Amino acid sequence: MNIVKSSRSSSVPKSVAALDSKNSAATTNINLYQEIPNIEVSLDDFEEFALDRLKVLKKLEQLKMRHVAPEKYKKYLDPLLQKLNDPTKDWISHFVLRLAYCRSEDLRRWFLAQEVALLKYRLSQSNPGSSSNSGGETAITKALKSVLPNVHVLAPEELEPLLPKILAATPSLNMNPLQVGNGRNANSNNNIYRVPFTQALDLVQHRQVFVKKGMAYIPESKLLSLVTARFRSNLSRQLALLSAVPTTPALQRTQGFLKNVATVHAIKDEYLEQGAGTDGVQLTANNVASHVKHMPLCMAQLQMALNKEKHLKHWGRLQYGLFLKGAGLSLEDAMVYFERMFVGKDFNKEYSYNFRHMYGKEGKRANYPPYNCAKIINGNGPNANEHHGCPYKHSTVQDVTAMLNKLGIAPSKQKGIIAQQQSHNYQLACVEHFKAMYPNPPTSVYANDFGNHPNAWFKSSVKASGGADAKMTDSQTIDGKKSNVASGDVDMNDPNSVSP
Amino acid sequence: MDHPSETDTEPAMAISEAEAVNDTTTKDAVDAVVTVTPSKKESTSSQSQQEHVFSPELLKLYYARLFPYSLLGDWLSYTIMSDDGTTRSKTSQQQPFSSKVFSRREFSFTLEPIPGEEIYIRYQSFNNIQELEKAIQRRQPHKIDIGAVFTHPPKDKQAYDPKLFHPVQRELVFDIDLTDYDDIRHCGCTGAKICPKCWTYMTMAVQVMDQGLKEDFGFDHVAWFYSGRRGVHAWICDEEARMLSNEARSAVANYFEVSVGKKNSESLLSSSSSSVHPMLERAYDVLEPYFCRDVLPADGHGLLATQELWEPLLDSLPAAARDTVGANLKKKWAASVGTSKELSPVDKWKQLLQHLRVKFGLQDENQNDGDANNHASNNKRPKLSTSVSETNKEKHRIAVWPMEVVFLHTYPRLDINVSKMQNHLLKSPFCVHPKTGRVCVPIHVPTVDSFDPFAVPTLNQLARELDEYHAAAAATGTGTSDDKVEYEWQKTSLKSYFEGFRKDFLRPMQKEWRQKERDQAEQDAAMRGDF
Repeated sequence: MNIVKSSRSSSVPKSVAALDSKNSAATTNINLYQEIPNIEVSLDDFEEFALDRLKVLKKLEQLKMRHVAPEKYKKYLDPLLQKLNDPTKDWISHFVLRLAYCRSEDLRRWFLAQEVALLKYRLSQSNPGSSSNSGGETAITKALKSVLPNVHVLAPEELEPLLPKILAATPSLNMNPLQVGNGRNANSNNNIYRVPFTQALDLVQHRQVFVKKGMAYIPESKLLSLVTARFRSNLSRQLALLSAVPTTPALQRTQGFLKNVATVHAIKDEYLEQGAGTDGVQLTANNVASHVKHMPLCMAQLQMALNKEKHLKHWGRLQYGLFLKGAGLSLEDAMVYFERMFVGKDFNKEYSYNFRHMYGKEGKRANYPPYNCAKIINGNGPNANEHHGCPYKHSTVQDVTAMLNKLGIAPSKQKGIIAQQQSHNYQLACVEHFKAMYPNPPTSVYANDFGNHPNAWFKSSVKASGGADAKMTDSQTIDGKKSNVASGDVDMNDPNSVSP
Repeated sequence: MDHPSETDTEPAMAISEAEAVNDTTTKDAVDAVVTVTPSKKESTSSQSQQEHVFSPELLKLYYARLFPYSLLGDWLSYTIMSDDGTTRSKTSQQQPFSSKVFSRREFSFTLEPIPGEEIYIRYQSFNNIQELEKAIQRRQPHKIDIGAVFTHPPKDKQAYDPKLFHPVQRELVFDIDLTDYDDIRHCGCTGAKICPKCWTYMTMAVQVMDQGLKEDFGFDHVAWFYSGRRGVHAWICDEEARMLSNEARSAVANYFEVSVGKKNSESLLSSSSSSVHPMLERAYDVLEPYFCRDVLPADGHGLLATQELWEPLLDSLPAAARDTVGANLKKKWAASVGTSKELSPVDKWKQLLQHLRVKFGLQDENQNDGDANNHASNNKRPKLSTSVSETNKEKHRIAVWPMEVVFLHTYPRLDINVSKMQNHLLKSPFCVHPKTGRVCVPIHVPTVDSFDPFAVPTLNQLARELDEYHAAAAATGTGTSDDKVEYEWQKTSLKSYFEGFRKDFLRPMQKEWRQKERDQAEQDAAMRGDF
């Protein structure tokens, strides 16, 4: 990025010609931000543009969280988008926010999600009646050609033999065979595009398109997803690259601003510190199971699976093990606990390395943070015999209901949870679960962001259940374990101490 | 997968600093990554069995005389060494030929210098196959894993900035393992135990995957191997495949993964439509005959052969069908048990499909039924005539239920985590499985139906075959027929496996490399001519 910042920049941009050509390009097309702006901007504009864009992105997030139907976005978004109507401003603001949001994975993820949402919105707006676009190319096809210059449109004779399979692969295809036989060409909306499958990974991996000999056959109706997928992967890659670029002196003056713009969303890894643990609870090998009631469903599910199957698969161990670490379970206690639970397994041989690694005692000795909701929800879903992931996303309503029953949530209280699950608000479902348990929690609980991190949920639950209850259960074990924990600190540095 | 510890299912977890280095590992292990884990004593029965098929002495013999170094080297070099691959030193008289791709490939060894003490060494690399051969002979690894090709030789990993050291290419691999079939294996096997009945699952998996990889993704160079115990591995070696990003690998793996019977069971068919992806249709055509032959009957997995299996199956019908057709057939079949009226399992299946069709007015038919077949459709499943509306959503579920059952019981169950990352280790072909003593031999796909894992030679058997060969040669007085035998493995039953690999996999791939080389040369010449 080569933005020249000067609070006293001359009003004439460096290269007027370049800007003009960009300008015209930007007005006719939806900008996919492939090119980096090389324009002088005043520091004030730099900041103002970015804040205007941020308002749009935040609104998009809000709309999604509130589950507003995309058709209704217009009302909320257009007033804010007005300010970005100037293509150059739009262009610059995007790149400023890139700088601000490239710093951490969470920030990148947030920015990426909102930018993709914005692009989707704009594409949908620019192409309302779809087929009504006479002759000219639609915004989507234009956008597509800018990200995928080699896209091939199938000629009728190429299409004919493949059509049944394309239709089978893409059932939503709005194309009745009769129409295809006759007036297809009259209607450009029914074109089929051929791209290498690597350009349409998202459609391929969900088997939403026909794939043959390494080529994906994509109907016009799916182009939107293709364009956004390309946009997403490009942006994601560039953000990652950008994060690795050291700050140049030229950018120094913007650092404070960039940091502040993005801190609003920064999710601290406060659960990284092993010592942090959970106030009022000392987790030990002996009381982990009794704390299931304080766990969000994703973790309770793993504990239940552990009870039942006496084993957890790789991702389950990782998700649950790191959670317990964040909740304050020491490595020693984790080893004792899981060795006890993994009945019939050679724990030392097969798993002790795994747990020591989690606690940063092996390998690159990284102190892995417990997973937050975003990671759990967006991560690999569970396969057969696996129990990790977010149950609201990865399990059926029946399974969730069964688990809630097991946890003693009254069926009448489950309605809200299930309703959120069914509308794919996984985190809100989890918040409902919390509310079902603590209808009137102390307000301090809400200071904790318990809908975003299982460890926060745990903490809040312990807090909401009242110190008394927590202390009761802990006092039984805490005295007995104290000495263990103390000596455990010493042993931790010696990996051999854990293998008898 | 045969990894005992799963540590290598996530590379990050297996990367460890050099610690607890056993002193049997020498200089080139200094940069390497070593982990020691005390290994578990096998139960006495398998222990004694193990001694018959596997021992350090037998392994030594295998590595000294039988391991097909030249095949592995020719393959992993991804360039043409020379015309026949045997006289490659000709191409570079001054110094041993060093294939660039080969020398940047990660190998890892699992050593067991003291029984019960496993040492795992990552990030080994070798300039050429001869170096690898030497290392193998010296170290006697119980297992060899092959990783990615990196930007630099992995043995020099420490010398590079971690940001500059990363994988650049890697075969797309698939790992299919019978342990993932435990819930549908009704032959009595679980875990690592296998029998000819459950092996049919691997047969089906190889066919479905091989066809899909070739037809859908256009991959030509797909090599299949027996993993030595309970599964199969696929190595897809086309250049396009080797260059795939991790995201693309995930996409291919997910494309093939069918999650019937798994947690989220709605994903086989989109709930809003009656059409099925062509890939699934094709897989169904391959799998359905196996389902009827190997899954339903009593001499297979007996899904419809006993009451205790068919009742839960009928109970798994969507509610509307379960309470009508299901309940009805349950009664009917229970009453007929042991009588002359009892239908064969396959006929029970046909009857079930027939009842579903009649009761719910589903269109089309099962081709195998031989029932009235007026439709010229090649679609074997019952099918809905119209697109699905609110009211016939249940009908739709009933219509796809048979396909879901077939897929649940036959569709390949992939360990897709293995496929998703370039930087994932997978056991090297041609290794010997320490628990079975069997060689990880190539599987010839066109004859995969007759591939018998129990006929794969064990170390023990190979040692005997070598002795017998030499005894026979001595008896006939022909001496050593060296003119015919280039490699010692040609004296054993490995011959057909390895020569098949060379002929069906390596040669076609080499032909392509040669063509590319020629094209490149012509292009270069043309360029020079222009100037």
